[in-house]
Amino acid sequence: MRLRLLRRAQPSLVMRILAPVLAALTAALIAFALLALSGKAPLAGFYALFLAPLSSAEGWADVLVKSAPLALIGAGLVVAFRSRVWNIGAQGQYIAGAVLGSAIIVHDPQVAGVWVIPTMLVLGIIGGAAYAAIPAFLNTRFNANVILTSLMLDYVALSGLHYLTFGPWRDPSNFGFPGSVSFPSAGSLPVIWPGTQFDIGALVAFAAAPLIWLLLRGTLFGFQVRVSASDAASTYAGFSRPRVVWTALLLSGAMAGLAGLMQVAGPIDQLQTNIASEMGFAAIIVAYLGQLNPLGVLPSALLVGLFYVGANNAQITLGLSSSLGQLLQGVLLFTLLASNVLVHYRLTRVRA
Amino acid sequence: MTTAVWVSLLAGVVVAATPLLLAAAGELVCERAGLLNLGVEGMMAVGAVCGFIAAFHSGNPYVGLLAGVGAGALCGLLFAWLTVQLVADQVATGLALTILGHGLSGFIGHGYAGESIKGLAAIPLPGLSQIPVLGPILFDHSLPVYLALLLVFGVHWFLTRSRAGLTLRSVGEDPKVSYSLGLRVYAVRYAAAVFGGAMAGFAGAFLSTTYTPMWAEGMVAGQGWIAVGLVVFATWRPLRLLFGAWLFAGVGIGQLFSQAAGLALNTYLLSALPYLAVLVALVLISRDPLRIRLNTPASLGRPFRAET
Repeated sequence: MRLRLLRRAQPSLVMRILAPVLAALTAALIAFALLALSGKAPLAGFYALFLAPLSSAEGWADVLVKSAPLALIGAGLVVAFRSRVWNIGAQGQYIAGAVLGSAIIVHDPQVAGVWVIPTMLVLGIIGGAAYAAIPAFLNTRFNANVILTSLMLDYVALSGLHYLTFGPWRDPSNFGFPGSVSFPSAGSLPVIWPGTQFDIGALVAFAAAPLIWLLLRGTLFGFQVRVSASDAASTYAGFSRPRVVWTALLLSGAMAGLAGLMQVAGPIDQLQTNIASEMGFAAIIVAYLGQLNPLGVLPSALLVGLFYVGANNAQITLGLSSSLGQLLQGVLLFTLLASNVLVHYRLTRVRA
Repeated sequence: MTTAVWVSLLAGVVVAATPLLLAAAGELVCERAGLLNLGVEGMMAVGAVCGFIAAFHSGNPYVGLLAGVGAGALCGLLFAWLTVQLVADQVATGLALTILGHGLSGFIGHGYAGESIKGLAAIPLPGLSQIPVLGPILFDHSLPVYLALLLVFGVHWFLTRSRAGLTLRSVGEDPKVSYSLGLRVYAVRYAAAVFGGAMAGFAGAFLSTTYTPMWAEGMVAGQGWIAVGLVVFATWRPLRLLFGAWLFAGVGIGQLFSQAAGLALNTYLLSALPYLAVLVALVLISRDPLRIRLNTPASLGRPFRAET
């Protein structure tokens, strides 16, 4: 007797929803095993990772603050990935948005007025979109692979950020530490949950996912994105591929840029060297874990945000490596990809 | 500037090109079998940390290299299981492997940062290393440097001259037809992915046991991605990897060149230069869509499942 995969006549909707749950449970089991292997009490580790952050209001606020940019970038990536435009350069676009938006503050640290925040938001969006325009141009004009060009630009953006924060944009009064001046109140997003870092930017970020859902459901562009899954269908419908590539990259880049700006003008409050911290890659996981559905991005962003906060907590309380968070993200994406086989196939027993 | 300086710089290029050559040769074989594995960066990180830990505990860097090869092969096996057996999306699986590799290397390397080991010694080839200029550039290195050069020629021979190579290429071009001809599509793709992983692990272990005998988180620093770019740059032809790897490695150690030439270039610009070089090279190569279409393995990135 052995097991065999049989193709389903139609993809199973139930499994599409159950697969992430199954994946999360399997990932939790693997986390348990990893903790046991590293010689820590698995139960204490498990508590520090997944439960401690959720046992207080402040913890919830932390998780929400950490999830917000992931939900925003992830929702943009859903559009890109559904269009089969593999923008994996969200990290670079995030940095570009943060840098361009910070320029106002660096130019005049005493800046004041109600126009400052809206201008910064617009600059953040422009920065991210403009940076995403590079792979779009190179792909549509020169046929260059989006995966590789957008990724190479990540490293270029990081070098640029290092240059600015160690060089011309460094705050001279900061004892030689890298980083820009701290943002004045006119350049900081207002906090709406007193005592935490949960600001108006986080609300905007969570609102993006439903908006993208409406965009995909109710507009011609959304239809173009949805038929992109099939070359034949898009060609038959007469949709221009370069146009889809441009729109997908500009939109996902703009959202990543906005996320970057709202981080430096929000929880971080200055332009630092390590603002990105693998955010772009975590957002890719969020997009996939949400089954490339904009609404699915919300719970998956919360879960990945929980991993970040939990791993930090485990590092402080148990001395575990902070890479544990990233490791768990990787495990989770693997278990999800494995579980997803059940969407299109079913397991049957066959007698040998 | 003296000849001696140039000779040592060029020898440095040959060494710096080694991890790129190893990883890219493995990825090239994998892609010629139709599997696009974007996890090279992560597999290199796992190879680097496992190689370092094995070398640290055994006191023998060669054991480290073997451990790196083994760890990389396991990563390749994991990739093959998901993409071949479970028909998972190759792009997503590769990215997952990169993220997993980063996290895993940081997790198991926790506590080894700052430790140091005795690196692999150079083995000057008798006779050949005495040739003026060319000797020190090519024939006065550690074992992996020679192996990387041999590997490129070996892969070229395998793909163009051997029966198994022909099978592998036909699986990469059209798995359906290959399957109906009775070729073992799954086995070939598994083997190619494991080989690609092993070579990426080897490349990572070379970094942590020979190039800089130490372990630091993030030490692979994008070289796995450059290797993936290199495969496209070489338009899936093994011998062209050599030229590309030397080019990118030369740009990578551009800092040394600019110092040697007495230029004061911005260090941040120099650190971005290898990635910009890959970008420019990709654009130049891809400009002609026909060339890319003719050379890309036809089934690259497409899942295959024998429907029964």
